[in-house]
Amino acid sequence: MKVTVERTPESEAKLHVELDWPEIESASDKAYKRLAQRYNVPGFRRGHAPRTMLERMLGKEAIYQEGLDDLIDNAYRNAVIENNLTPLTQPHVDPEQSFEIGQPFNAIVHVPVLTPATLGDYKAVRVPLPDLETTEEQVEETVERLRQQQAAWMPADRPAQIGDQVTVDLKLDSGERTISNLHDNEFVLSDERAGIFSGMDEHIVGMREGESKTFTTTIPEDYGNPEFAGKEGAYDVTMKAVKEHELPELNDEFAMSIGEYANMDEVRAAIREQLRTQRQRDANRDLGEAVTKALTESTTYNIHPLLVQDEVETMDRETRRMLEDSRLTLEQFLDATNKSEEAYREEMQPEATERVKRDLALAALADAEQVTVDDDEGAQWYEMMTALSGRRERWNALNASQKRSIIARLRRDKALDRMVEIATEGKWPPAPEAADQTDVADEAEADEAAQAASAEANAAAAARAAAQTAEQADATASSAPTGSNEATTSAPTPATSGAPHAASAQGAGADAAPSKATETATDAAASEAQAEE
Amino acid sequence: MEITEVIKHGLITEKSVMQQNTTTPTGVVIPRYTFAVALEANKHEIRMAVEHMFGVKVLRVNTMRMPGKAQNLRTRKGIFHKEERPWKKAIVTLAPGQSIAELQA
Repeated sequence: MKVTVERTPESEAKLHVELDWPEIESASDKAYKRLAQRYNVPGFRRGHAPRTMLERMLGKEAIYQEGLDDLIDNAYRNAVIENNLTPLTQPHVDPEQSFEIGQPFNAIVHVPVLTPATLGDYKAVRVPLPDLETTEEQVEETVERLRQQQAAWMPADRPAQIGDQVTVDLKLDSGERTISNLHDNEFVLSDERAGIFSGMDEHIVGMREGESKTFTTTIPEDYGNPEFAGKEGAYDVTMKAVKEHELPELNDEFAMSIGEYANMDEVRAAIREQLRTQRQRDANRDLGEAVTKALTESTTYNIHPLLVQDEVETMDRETRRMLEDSRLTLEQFLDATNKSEEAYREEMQPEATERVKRDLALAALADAEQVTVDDDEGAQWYEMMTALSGRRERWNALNASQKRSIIARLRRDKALDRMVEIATEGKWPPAPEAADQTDVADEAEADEAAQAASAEANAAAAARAAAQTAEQADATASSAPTGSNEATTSAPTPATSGAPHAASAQGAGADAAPSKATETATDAAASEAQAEE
Repeated sequence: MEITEVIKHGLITEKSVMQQNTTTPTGVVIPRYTFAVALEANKHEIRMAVEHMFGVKVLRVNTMRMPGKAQNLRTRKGIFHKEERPWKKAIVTLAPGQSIAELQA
């Protein structure tokens, strides 16, 4: 047997396999023994049928062909190991001539392979260090937000204003049709209302409890339902109650009401700490991105289209899983965003290419920097991640390829850390601050873990909310005030900490680099944005 | 009976293939071939039939009646009784060195 390996510029490997007859003969003997085990020949026990009987049943060529396949398969496997190839798909065998008994046989095996990226001068990459300072304004801003969240709706004996919560009976007609007829509906007055109810709020402003009013507005031209778009809407509104937002005072009582803090100083300290870790996390992510960008730009690639295709499939699966969490099918999602499946896939191409480039570059970097990840680290990471998402799974329950892919991923993460170290000349991550902060840090960590755990749930919730928004776009509108009301009042309240929730959900797990949680959260945010469009 | 009606078909099974190649302790191959034959055929007729059909010399014929086996089939549509017909098997010993290519495995 003679095998020569040739690499083509299209990131494919071409194996020329030459086989002579005695080899084929002996391989077919082995093949016969195996085939005899597989086929049931009447009159013989399995595996005991003579070769002539089997040949009569399957044909002479079939047994030789089986032997040939074995030989080529073997040659291919050895070539892959000896030449250190990473095949991307099953190989394709191209026979050079038709097979004849007693004749040598040549074949060419084509297989797309992964071509490792060639790193540029990665050691020269430098990125500026991020600024970690938190200002008093930022702290105060968070305090103010907390205050808003803690505020209660108190009855107000005055005309309604923008920002007040009102309870009204509301009837909206357009022409002959009654679009909406609501009783005791609560919502918050806003001067930025979109959709079918736009323009309504300014008429309601100034009404007192018990008053009634009729007025008309023009439904916007771009409203989703063409039946009503651009038409007059006639309102009949009776004010039932006006409530104003009463902000709590910033005193010890307030500090205690939001968590286990004795006074405002403690709250501020906690917020400062929170913001600092938050910034560090953001900075970590930004640095990672900047470094990856620099790295991918300086690297040369030879990417087989299959790799990108695979990545698109992965992204598609991720999207589907995310949608599933919000009980949507991909078809519904595509309908809502008005995209064809081809366009949706086409759209993923550039990002998929970027991801492939990133992975290849980091893998190459890991090789160059001799980064290693052993099984234990993989097990630790996996069990921690699954524990965080609520279902503890065992590392040993995974099969070898799953383990390999997790370890490869950890190795890339580590390589990225190493790259950040190179690019910042070892000044990142910053050394931890004085020891007396450890308590708070611990708390923050625990918090972070909890948030990471809830991040997936949050992402799901966000996607669900987005889906609802999409549905409402078409609704016959009766639920719109309630919907917007909900959006204002039911903004998620953080457990004990002051940091804005959605942001921390995104940042959570960024420490441990691109974890599942981060990806899901960002994706969810993206889909939300799309749905809102 | 007509000579063409005697032999139904040859049998190739693990056992019959083994018997085709039995050797005596002195190393002589004594080939024996197995046939399904007509139930009413006798050893003389079988010898004649084999010798004429395959052009070989027959030394000995052993025959045996094989029972038609009965079996009950339980199906969704009820229980069925099925009986196979009895048949006759003949093991024909040829002169040493001879063979029947059609039945060789």
